[in-house]
Amino acid sequence: MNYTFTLRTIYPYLGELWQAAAVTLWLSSLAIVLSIALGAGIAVLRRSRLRLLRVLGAVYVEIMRNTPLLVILYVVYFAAPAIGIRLSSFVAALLGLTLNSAGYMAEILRAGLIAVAPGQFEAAQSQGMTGWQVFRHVVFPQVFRTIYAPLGNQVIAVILASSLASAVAVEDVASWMQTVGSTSFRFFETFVIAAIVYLVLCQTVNIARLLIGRWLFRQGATR
Amino acid sequence: MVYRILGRACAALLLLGMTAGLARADGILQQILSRGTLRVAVLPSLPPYSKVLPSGEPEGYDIDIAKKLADALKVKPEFVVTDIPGRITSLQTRKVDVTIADFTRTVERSTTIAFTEPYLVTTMRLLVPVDFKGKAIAELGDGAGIKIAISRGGTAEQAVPANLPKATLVRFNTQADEMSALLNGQADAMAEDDFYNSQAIKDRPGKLRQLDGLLARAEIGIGLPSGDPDFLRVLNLFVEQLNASGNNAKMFKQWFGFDQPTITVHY
Repeated sequence: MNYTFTLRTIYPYLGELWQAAAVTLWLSSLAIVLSIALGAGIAVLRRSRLRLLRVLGAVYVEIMRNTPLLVILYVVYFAAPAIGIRLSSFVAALLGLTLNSAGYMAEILRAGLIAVAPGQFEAAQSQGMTGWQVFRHVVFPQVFRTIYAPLGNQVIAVILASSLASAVAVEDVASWMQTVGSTSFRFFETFVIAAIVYLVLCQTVNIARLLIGRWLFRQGATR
Repeated sequence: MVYRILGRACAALLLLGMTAGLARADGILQQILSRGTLRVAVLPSLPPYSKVLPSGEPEGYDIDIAKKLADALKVKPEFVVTDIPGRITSLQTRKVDVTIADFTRTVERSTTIAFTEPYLVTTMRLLVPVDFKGKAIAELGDGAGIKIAISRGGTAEQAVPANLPKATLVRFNTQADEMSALLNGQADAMAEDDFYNSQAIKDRPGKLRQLDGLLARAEIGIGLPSGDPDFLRVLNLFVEQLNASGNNAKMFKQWFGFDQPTITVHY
């Protein structure tokens, strides 16, 4: 190999990198919050007494877990204008990421709900607890503990998946990497820098998750 | 006896290793001649520059230039189909000897790889849907409110803001995505070289047209690893004779369907 790795050559482009990292962080944070909300709704659908709702929930989950995110992004950004829905790059990417992640979030939350034994609902109700009290004191603490670790994995998965948003013209870290690489022909440097940015973002989330988990579940194992 | 044979075998291997080491220290030119093949990085879908047929064989203007170069060196061409980053990294890691893939040369880029003299000069223009308001780039003012699809990191990164400072750049990784954005109204215009634009207009009758006026000119050269002036000398001679002989213009007309614009510039 006849190449001198020279990080110095990338310094002029670092200003745009912070903006790009902010876009990645903002896009993934929004997608995570929205997909937890949507996923919770679908998890509840999948436990509904009505067969139709259960089937609808299952169909949604299977579609989202069995189609590539890139295809969903293309549909939302490039194909939807044909039926009159024109979304900006950011909104299209947010919608695609949310729809996709909600499929996984629904399954994580459903697993948490299943983990609460049905007898506990009955026991709580027989104590005269209201619906909200059952949720707050019996269901939620147990569901939260069950889903805490897989939820952390999904959060990281969303941050990494957000790199595909550059395909629909979002100016995130992956876009910065391609743009600066193509401008300067220094792809090795830009690949390494982008990898470090994603690594730092994800490890920050991971370490925060471990610390918060240790504090929340002081008596039990958190991993 | 056994040890003696083993000893000789070791010595032979060592010698072989040393000659192999020497061969590696040779210039790129010597490697190509010893190998008997010229390894060329090309793009899979940039017609009429290059495209890969269903059979796996590449064809196009850039491909014909590669074949001419291999002929001139009296070796066989070996095509390595790659992507936008791969055209550069495969040179930097010496996986290929040259890249012939619509390569625009700039000073910044030439600090990482070397370029030959140009075999083609293109001009960047704006491709728009037929119902676009306006006939020329000059009518667009500062470009406020206009979304222009460009290739990430391409010539348009500087050329568009220089001409239309208030235009919004919408960046894509491939020309195919830029075209989708343009046809679906996610972008109002697309900045590409006029050869690409001409082909695109021909392929989609009645849908697209070009605006009058130029955004930038780009010099297209052959890319090679840096640090080998001897190889560059040979390639430059090849390009100069390809241009001077009229063979280049002939190939261009065959693939693009119109006469090749002049390559030389009057300062």
